[in-house]
Amino acid sequence: MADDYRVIGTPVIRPDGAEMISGQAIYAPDVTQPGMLWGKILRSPLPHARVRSIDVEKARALPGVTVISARDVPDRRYGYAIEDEQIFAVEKVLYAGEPVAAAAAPDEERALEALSLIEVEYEELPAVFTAAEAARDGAPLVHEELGPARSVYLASWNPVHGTNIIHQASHHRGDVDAALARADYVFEDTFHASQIHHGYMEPHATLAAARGNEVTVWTCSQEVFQLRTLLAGLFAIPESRMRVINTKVGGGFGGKIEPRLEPVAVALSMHSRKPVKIVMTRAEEFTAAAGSTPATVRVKTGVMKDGTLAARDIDFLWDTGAHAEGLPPSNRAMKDGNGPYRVHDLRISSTLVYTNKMRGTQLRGLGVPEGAFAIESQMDMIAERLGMDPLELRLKNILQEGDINSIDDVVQSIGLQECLESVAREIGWDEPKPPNVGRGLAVIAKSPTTHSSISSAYVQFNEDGSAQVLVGASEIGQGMSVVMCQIAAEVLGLPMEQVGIASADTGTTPYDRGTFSSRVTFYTGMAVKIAAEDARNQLLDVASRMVEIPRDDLGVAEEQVVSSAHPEFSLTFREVLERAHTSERPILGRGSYGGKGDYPTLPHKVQRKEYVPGWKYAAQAVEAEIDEETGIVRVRRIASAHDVGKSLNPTSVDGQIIGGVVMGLGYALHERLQFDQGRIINPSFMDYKIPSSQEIPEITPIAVEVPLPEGPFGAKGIGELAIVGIAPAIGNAIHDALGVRLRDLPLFPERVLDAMESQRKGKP
Amino acid sequence: MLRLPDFTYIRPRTLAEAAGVLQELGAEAMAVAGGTDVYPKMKRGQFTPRYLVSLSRVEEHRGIRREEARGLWIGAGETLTAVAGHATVRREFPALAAAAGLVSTLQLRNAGTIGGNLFVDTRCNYYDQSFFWRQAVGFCLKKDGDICLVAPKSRVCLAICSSDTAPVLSSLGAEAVLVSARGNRRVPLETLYRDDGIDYLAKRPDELLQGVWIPESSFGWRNVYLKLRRRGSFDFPVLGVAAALRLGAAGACEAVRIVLTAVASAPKVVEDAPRVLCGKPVDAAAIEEAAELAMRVSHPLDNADMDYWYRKRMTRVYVTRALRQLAEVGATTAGPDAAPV
Ligand SMILES: Cc1cc2nc3c(=O)[nH]c(=O)nc-3n(C[C@H](O)[C@H](O)[C@H](O)COP(=O)(O)OP(=O)(O)OC[C@H]3O[C@@H](n4cnc5c(N)ncnc54)[C@H](O)[C@@H]3O)c2cc1C
Repeated sequence: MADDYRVIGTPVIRPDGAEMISGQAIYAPDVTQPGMLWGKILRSPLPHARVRSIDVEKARALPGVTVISARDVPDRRYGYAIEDEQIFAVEKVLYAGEPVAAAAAPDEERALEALSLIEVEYEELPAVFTAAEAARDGAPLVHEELGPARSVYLASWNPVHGTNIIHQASHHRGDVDAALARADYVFEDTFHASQIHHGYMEPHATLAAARGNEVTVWTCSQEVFQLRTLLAGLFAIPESRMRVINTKVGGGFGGKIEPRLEPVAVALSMHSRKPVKIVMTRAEEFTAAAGSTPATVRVKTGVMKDGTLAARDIDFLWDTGAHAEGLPPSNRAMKDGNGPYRVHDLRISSTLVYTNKMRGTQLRGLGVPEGAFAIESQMDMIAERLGMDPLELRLKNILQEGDINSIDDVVQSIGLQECLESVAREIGWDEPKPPNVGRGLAVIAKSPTTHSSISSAYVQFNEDGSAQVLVGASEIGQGMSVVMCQIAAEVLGLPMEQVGIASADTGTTPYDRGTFSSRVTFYTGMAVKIAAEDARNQLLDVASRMVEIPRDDLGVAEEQVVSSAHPEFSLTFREVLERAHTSERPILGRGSYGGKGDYPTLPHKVQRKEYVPGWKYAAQAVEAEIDEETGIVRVRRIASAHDVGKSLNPTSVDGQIIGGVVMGLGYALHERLQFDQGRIINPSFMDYKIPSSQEIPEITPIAVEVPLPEGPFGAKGIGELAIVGIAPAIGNAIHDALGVRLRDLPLFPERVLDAMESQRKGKP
Repeated sequence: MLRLPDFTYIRPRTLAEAAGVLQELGAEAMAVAGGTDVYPKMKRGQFTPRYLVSLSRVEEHRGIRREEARGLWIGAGETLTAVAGHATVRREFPALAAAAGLVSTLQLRNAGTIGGNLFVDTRCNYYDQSFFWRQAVGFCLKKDGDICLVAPKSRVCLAICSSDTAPVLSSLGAEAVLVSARGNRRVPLETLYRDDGIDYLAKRPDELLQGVWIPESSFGWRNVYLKLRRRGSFDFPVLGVAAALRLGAAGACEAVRIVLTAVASAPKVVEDAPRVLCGKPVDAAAIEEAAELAMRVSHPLDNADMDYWYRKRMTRVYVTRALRQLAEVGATTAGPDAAPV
């Protein structure tokens, strides 16, 4: 089948790669405008305090400086899920790093000088720093009032008013208690995933220009349309007057979904009537942008003697920090928390709690890594107790074609077993091991995005016969622009050089829900495919009128319209387009595609046992060597197999897998945002430790291809999964090597030694 | 991006001239060599000099040369890359090649000098932060504040010595040559360090380092340096063990020096090591005893990466490994880094 395609399935190097690595690409911090000012934000030094007064008079006295605080901006709350944020702190500051005021000036130094002249009087309040503390009765309240929720979340929003619990969700099927009582063994364990940072290289940067009655925003965003809607609503102007243009994005990983600098930049520009640019410092990135949403996960699993999973009860406690951007991951856990296992009697509950810290938001994997660390670690604990091989235990329980999954979806197009078997083979699962070397496995699934996951695309023929793709999704470095061009090129019979793409500009490209949750290849890809087919058909229509051959007898090949019924004739695309542009009309193909299904508790999830296309599956295996005396873990090899449906561009697929694995390695071994009284004490790449090239082992990416009939040429998404299983797989390898089990991330050497000590003393 | 504040940049041509300028300008002036410690700290407001006296034009503190009977001269202005790659250093003092080669990253080693490394500022989680961060917590003893945030009762600053090469050169008995307007002096390097996170150097601010001599008598010593840190690159040591020993013809230990870094504000000499190691073969029992002693004098605090109890315990492991290497294979090349490689 693969052989039938010209472009699909062939490795393509990104055409903009050279520009990126030679420093010529324009990222958000590079954008300038004539007459531009620099903006800087004054941030709260305290984690929780009442703002008694803000005096900006001295700062305003500086020549050429614009200074604004809460008084100068619309008194509106915003947020993608819960509207719990304002541009500047109004009565209280909720975390150290919260914007309190901002200044714009002709240069950064002057803007900073202005900030230093702003006088803020605070009255410090008792604060809460952990989810467990914050969930307790009588804990200081981060937000005195909860909400409101945006309309798409309203139906399922379940807060506990008068507490810090902003959302609770639960999903229940069967009779869990009875099934646990019947089980031969019951395992109950608690795991803790730490908060990590997205660690993108490009910091947040925004340039906003309010001119006449229009506002233009250049920024680095994963979702330009969502952002436009939010900004237009916030500043009460029609969306037609608010244009968001994406620059090249130097990495997003979920950290560039929700607004950060944009509201402040727009407000400063509206006040100064000049374009205003703000670039975050790295310290601001670490203290005021966002991290992942960490969770404590309690898992209770009932198992039969033969290894069959009988029941599961999973409880997530999420720490969302001062703003509820952790809501999507906490909801996701309903769908994905159980992993890709067949468990009928199932209860999953999820509690999202505010604390006085920088917010947690979505991060590659969107709630799946936290759950997978717990589930996949416990799977090995179960295997050990039953005396079963962890591979065998997984093979026995993973979802197979035709099964009903955790949320009553019918499982179709699943290549999970093949993924698992291929990583086991690659890592040498059954081969003998040197001393202190262990191997570990993990299997992963991630649900598709939901009914609101909509994409659209235009495919336009140019006059010379080449084509232009227009999509609203964001290129965030993942290579979607190459894949979209491949899809169009394949349909149109064009070589890759003849297809161009423009993306993520609300002024020119069609609507897309955005780049998140491994959704673009599938949904935007389908929209492009449909648009390209539409364009091709329109082209054939024109040709058909020119040569008086029915359209159905025509086709495209090598930039020509041809007909197998009439081999004597051919027309070049250029000839057809000349006719189209002069005496008919330009050819503009249109396509759109949307998701299906929803969270178990949301109204769109009505049918049971429906088939929702787009589930993604993967398996990962690691081999690690652990130094018994130091506890230092050296990962020797990693194999990561992903059911991608169809590998549209094998180069991008490898890149996504390797990149994800490396990020997973940091999450597993080194990375965590470290707090002292709510303040992050490692806010730099010196002290926040992402893997260096020395920590990166040999990585074998494997693409398994079980086609998704609904996907473009059978493709599924790939973006997130490779981060997910590395931590549990390494945890399992440590156990395999030394017999100790770590339940907290990261898997620091200190913790390995601690666990060995406890083991020696006979503690669990 | 953090920006450098304004300062006046002075580039004298000789060390004496530079020392004169430093003396004249007093507390508002500071010497800068590669600037890899100085500039980032100025951006964060940890250093606030109005004048920087650059040593970039000075020639007399350069060069690495072997002089018969005198030893090995290493000019303070040589880069860490040059030191780590020098043939004599690699052959005779693999510990130094390792220590210099394990500092940070290649880019920094190409800019950073050995002189700057020997005098690199002490470090602490509460001090190595942006101005805004330190302001928010009310500053600390070491800069702009009046309490120690690691140990609020402490009257002295507990920031830790973070140099990789200082313990090695101390273990090799190196001598420092200092130049000032008042003349030159040559002192054992080890005596230049004080166990005080603020006043960590026992020298006047206007005294400049011209270079160090590794004395002739240190040739032939077996030597090794082991470094503990989270990653195999970038990271400062959170424990470093430098060990050097001379074995007699019969295989007995004649002399030994063990010096630790990152466990106090100064490089920490394990004073009792010779007592338990000298006069006998370096066997398992002797190694164990020496390692135990080293652990006892190692007092890491909760102000760097990796738990302090762990760093203390690793002192024993690392000293054991260092001595084992010296006993077994003699002078080795770059010791294995603790972090995965
Ligand atoms: C990301 C990063 C990682 C690092 N990792 C490490 C590490 O792993 N190990 C480590 O040891 N260091 C590390 N450093 C610190 C530093 O880079 C090195 O210590 C380097 O060798 C300093 O040399 P320099 O020439 O740049 O010193 P400078 O910054 O120029 O000076 C440092 C100090 O020495 C003084 N000084 C310099 N030369 C002389 C002289 N001739 N006479 C008198 N005083 C002098 C200066 O006044 C200043 O006080 C790191 C730094 C960074 C930014």
